[in-house]
Amino acid sequence: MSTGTSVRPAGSRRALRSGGIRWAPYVFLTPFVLLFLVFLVAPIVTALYTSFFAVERSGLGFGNANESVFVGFDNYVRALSDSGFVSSFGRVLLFGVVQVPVMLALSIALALVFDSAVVRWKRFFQLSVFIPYAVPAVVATLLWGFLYQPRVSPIVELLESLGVSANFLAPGTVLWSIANVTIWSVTGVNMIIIFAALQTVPRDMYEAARLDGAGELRMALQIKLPMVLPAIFLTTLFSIIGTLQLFNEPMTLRSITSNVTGDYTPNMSVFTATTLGGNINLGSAMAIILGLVTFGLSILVSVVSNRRRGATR
Amino acid sequence: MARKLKSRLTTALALATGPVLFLAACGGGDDDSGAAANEGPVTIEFWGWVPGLEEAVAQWNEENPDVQVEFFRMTGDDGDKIPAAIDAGTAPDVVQMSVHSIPGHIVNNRLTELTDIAGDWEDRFTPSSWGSVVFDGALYAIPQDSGPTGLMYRTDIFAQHGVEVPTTWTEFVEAGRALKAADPALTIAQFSPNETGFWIQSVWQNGGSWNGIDGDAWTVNVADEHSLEVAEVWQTLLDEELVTTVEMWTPEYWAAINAGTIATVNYAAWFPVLLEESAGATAGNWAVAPSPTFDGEESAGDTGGSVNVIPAGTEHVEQAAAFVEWLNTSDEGLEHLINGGIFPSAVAGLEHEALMVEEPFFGGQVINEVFADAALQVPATWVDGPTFELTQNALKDEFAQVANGRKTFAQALADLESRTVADLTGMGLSVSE
Amino acid sequence: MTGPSRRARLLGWLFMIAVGLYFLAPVYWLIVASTKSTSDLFSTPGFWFADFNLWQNLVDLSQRDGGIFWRWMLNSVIYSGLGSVLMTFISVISGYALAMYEFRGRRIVLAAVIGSMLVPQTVLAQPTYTLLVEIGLSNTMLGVLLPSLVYPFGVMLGFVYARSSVPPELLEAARMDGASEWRAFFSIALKLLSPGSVTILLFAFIGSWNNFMLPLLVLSDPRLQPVTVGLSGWSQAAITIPGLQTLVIVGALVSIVPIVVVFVSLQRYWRSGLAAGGLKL
Repeated sequence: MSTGTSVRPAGSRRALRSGGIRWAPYVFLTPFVLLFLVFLVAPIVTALYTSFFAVERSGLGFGNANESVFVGFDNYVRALSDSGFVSSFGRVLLFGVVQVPVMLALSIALALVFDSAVVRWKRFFQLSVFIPYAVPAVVATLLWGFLYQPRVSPIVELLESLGVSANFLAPGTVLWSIANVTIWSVTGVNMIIIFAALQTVPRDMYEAARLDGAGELRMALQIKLPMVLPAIFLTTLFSIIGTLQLFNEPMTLRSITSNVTGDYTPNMSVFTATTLGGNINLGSAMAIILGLVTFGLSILVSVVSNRRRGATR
Repeated sequence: MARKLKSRLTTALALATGPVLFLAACGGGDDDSGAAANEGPVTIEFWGWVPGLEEAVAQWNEENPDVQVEFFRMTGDDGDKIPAAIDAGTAPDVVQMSVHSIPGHIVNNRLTELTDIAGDWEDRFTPSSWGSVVFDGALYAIPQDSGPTGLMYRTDIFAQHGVEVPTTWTEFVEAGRALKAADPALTIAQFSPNETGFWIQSVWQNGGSWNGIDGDAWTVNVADEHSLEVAEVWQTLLDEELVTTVEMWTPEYWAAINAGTIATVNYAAWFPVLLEESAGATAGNWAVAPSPTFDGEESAGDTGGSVNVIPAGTEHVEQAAAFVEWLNTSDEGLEHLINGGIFPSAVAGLEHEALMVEEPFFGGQVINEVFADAALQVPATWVDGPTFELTQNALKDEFAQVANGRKTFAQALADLESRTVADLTGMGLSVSE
Repeated sequence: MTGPSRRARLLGWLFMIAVGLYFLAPVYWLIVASTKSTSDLFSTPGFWFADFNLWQNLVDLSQRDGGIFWRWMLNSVIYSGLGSVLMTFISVISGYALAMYEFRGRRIVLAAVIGSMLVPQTVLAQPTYTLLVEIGLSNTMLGVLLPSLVYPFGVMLGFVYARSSVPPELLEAARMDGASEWRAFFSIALKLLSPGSVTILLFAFIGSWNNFMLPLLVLSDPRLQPVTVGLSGWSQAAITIPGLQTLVIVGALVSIVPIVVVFVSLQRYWRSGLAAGGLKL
């Protein structure tokens, strides 16, 4: 994850002799660890606990004691037998398979262009690419919603005047319309992360290549790109996580088109179960399944990319 | 404020010192619960969304120094926090909520039963609004506003093509055909999969109810004859392309209304204000007639409105109830509600002078006369079930499939029925066939 | 030194124009829409101006619910401003500790930092709320601020930057001179880490500006809400409350301004800063 060099932590035997050094890291980490335990670990433990219980009811459900009883893996079984919930994983994976490469390719291309001497007005263009990230997801989706809808969208109008009939909200296309909103929103950040990594590549490496007669494109692909692979890996990982947790965009688009169903993504199923269905236990089980899938997939991506990197060395 | 923050910061810091203190802090409870109830003025908290509630609360506070109401305006998702707030014991004393979400809260023991306090207020409200707050003989909420239906229609379009304004659903379909024949771009109405209110109101008008109580079990009647009659009308409208499919509330919908390609909106009494705001260019071309009926007998539908509830665990139930009574049944309270743009559920509100005003947007018609008549004609049949929000959510998905031609309305209703039964039994509740 | 070829420049320009159009067209639409009345919004072409109503919209925005929009903006600035500074400090000091010291539990903390980035927000929302209620922080500014300070991504970045830009020899030398660990961090490491900190600050600021789920759940008092929660509430209420739709649009436009200001003012620092940091490798 570091940018190339391997600096060893300064933990020498000599250092351990002094008391200050022994305690310093703990003191430095205290605020983070405390907040981490209270606001991250504790909630996860609570969610895990909740997922193994269910509220006991009978008859009309009026005046029941509503006590929670331990039900083992019942909630998990119920979640996994909910075909809408299970198939939503397939949907977000399909989404990710397309959205993540497209978005990353765009981010990398932009970062490389900004790092080269090819264009001017870099600050303006960087700002243009970055602004969408500042637009909250809900507003961004509303905004694109206007551009997707027939009768109000200038884009649809333009396409129609060219003889193309476009329906951005049909059952088959709405997934890609959501992908477009997310690409528009997050390309800026990923571009910045990769661009920042590019800026740390020593300039003299370029000079050497240039003297060898390498063009901008060859330099970008053969020298710059390999140098920022760690940053690209980082952004890939985040993008995959983001994909699995897709929520705000489809949820907002659902108010514009019912072709986004109530269980369109795993997170929407969790929302439906918890907020509309009032079943926190089932919702927790679904959320934990989602967490486990995210975890598994991230491990997979790490292993694959490590193996790749190992092979090229 | 600063002191409060400081003391809370200390609590948070105490957390850091270890799990023992953590548990102690948890058991401590809220600080203001210790104050004796009969000492000095009582403060109750009220969450609601009707515009102008601030003024209503201000007037109440001036007249009732002993019961001071603190008002919080809810927007958007705020309703979603109510369950968590009630369960955590931080809920307000009075909450405005959708009538459809009451039973879901009752089965979770989140509402105070009001039968003893307000059980005899029945005569003050319209029969249909009262009917949907009483479950198995027990009262859990006080009706606030309703959505009795009326047919808003474009006078110019009907006049231009020489089509009569329909009074029955059969005539409605006929009128749809006539309008379409006169102008292929014109549709008599729209089909919106995302707005379940259109369906609820029609089934309600037809004397149906998707849920009910039969002894110790819930009933589910999503696909009974009341609903199927509605489905038949809509299937015809859709098959013959007499309606256009466009989602309600979207810019696309308003653009279609502005463009004058949708001739009628058969919808709730609170809709005209929104129509006026979003389709200003069409001012003067609208009028309101009674909703078309199924069998020629006068009846109207209702989309369901909102109610006031008193969450479980509230300390000052009596004071809260007194405020709710004043807000929803007194002349002053009703005036504030009406001025805020809602249509009251109280009978006294139906005759209120603030309601009976001429609307220039509707060519000077006193449109609320139509809606007030409708309010009293709505059958007192509709009852919601504990999973109604899930049913509504699933209805959108089912109707999206109807719009895409994958299902008929009848099939969609049948599937919705089995989904609803599964949701209820999944909660551990009994469902009778 | 020879620059890129003419063809490369031309292609670069074409690419940038396409990119600019794609990223700015919706923003342009937002600007145009902000100048329209509700009626015109639905009845006039989206990419061109109708009656110029921007000032009236801004006045309406400022007056709605007693000017609560500006209160939301102020809240957002507080949450993001104060929050991001604290987040950055915690991230940098934690990343520094993880990178510069060998100690028992280091691997566990590192693994936890990485693992926690995989936890879906939905898992956390409900239990976090319950927890805040128990410690009396629900519906307070602190209740939004404290949980948002847990920023594993920032710690990761802090770790990466500390490893790449603080030479251990320098610390060793400082210790020889008798400096305490505390002083070594504040007087030597922090200076070296400042370019990286600016990047963390930018991410933290924007991250907390866009923070949505937690404040939505924690705050019941609209006067404490950040602008994201307030605007999305309005946009949902726009269905039943006339006139809100335009306010959501104008509000969205106004709410982007601070982010643009922060980005532009950090842009210079952060580019030269990172480049400088890179030279030290």
